[in-house]
Amino acid sequence: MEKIEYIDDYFKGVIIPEKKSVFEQRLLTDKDFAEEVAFYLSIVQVARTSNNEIKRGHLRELYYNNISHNSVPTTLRKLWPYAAMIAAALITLVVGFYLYTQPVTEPSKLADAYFSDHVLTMGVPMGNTNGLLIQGRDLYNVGNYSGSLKKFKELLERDTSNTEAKEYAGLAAFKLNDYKTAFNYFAQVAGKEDLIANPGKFYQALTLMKQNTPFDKENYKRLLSEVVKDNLFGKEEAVIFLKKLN
Amino acid sequence: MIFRKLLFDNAEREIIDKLLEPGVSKRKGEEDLFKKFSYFVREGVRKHSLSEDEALDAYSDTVMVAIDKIINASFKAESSLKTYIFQIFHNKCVDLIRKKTTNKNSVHNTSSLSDMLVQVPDTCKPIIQQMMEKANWELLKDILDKLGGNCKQLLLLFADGFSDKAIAVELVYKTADVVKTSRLRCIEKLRQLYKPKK
Repeated sequence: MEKIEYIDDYFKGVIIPEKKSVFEQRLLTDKDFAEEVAFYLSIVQVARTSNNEIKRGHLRELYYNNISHNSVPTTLRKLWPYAAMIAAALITLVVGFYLYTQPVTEPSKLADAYFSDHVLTMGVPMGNTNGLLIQGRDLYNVGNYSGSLKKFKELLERDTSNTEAKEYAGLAAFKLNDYKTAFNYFAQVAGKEDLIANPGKFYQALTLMKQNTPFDKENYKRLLSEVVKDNLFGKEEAVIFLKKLN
Repeated sequence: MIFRKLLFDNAEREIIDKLLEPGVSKRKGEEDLFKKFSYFVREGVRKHSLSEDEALDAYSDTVMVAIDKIINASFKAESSLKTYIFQIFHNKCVDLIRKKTTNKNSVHNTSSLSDMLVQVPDTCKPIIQQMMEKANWELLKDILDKLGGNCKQLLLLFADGFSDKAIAVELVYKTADVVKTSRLRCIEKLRQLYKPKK
């Protein structure tokens, strides 16, 4: 034990200069002692390698769970909102033109057209580092809607106030033709008054249009009218829908 | 000196400061550094035609090497942290491409034997190095993994540059002296387990 402490002190640099030179001299003359030193260093080396393996695993997890989609350079991050706005405007124009020129007047087909052309994939959850949200989004984007919904539900069990998760869960449920669940999630999103662009009410209307039971007609028209009147997300499309549906 | 200071933005300075502190701060610094330039992984995929996993491995190794250099003061701050990391990453990617057909895992060897022998005088280095090369690394790793109690944790933290005082805080030991005694006993135990099997 004393020998190990001696070696340990040497490599920690806490040994006095006289002892240091004795230590170094002994390395040249005492084979057993040199072996002890080599063993000590080997242990540190093995522990370092283990540390690196653990860290590599941790960093891999960190990358895939949190940051692979978020970590873009600041300049790109600054440009992103403008790019998103331009993209949204272009999509609205294209979808609007399509909807306006198509002779489709069946509510469920209008809803389908909107969700297939406009909300084909969910965007990158900017600023949100929640792994479940990203996993759910990725599953959604590859068409695994049940897996996606499961992830969003799991997330909502942990964080009941996560509006993005509610919106995405509603979209996944919509894709699964579970309109009741979708409507409920969208209603919860619509209830959030502090969002800048709240798609909740518009999506509620689309869900009812898709469901299209005799009882839904009055409600989706009312919701679309409210979207237009209150200048909510989806206003341009709502105007077109109302024209086509009247 | 002022010029050197200007090479770092505040975020980079903060990361370096955290890395130079012991314990939890250092770990936070490691994660922050990893996050800050993780978009390099995409660069690795795009520029070097690596898979995302391969580029991620190269990037993880880059971060670990950079951390070692910063802590050991080998990072001379002659460029920004971003430029420095990018240079290492580029080399790692090239290294990986070169070694892909031979031995893929060798890219992971982030700490070499020479790193550990810095303190030993040049005259003694070949002797120690020769002895270390003869060590049965797999057996040592196997024994380390099987060590009971806090032994493995103690040795891993020590090898990661934690002082005994910082380990005492991390693993809730009474004093740094208790950590030192326990740590040295662990080495002794490892020695005993290694000897007969060797």
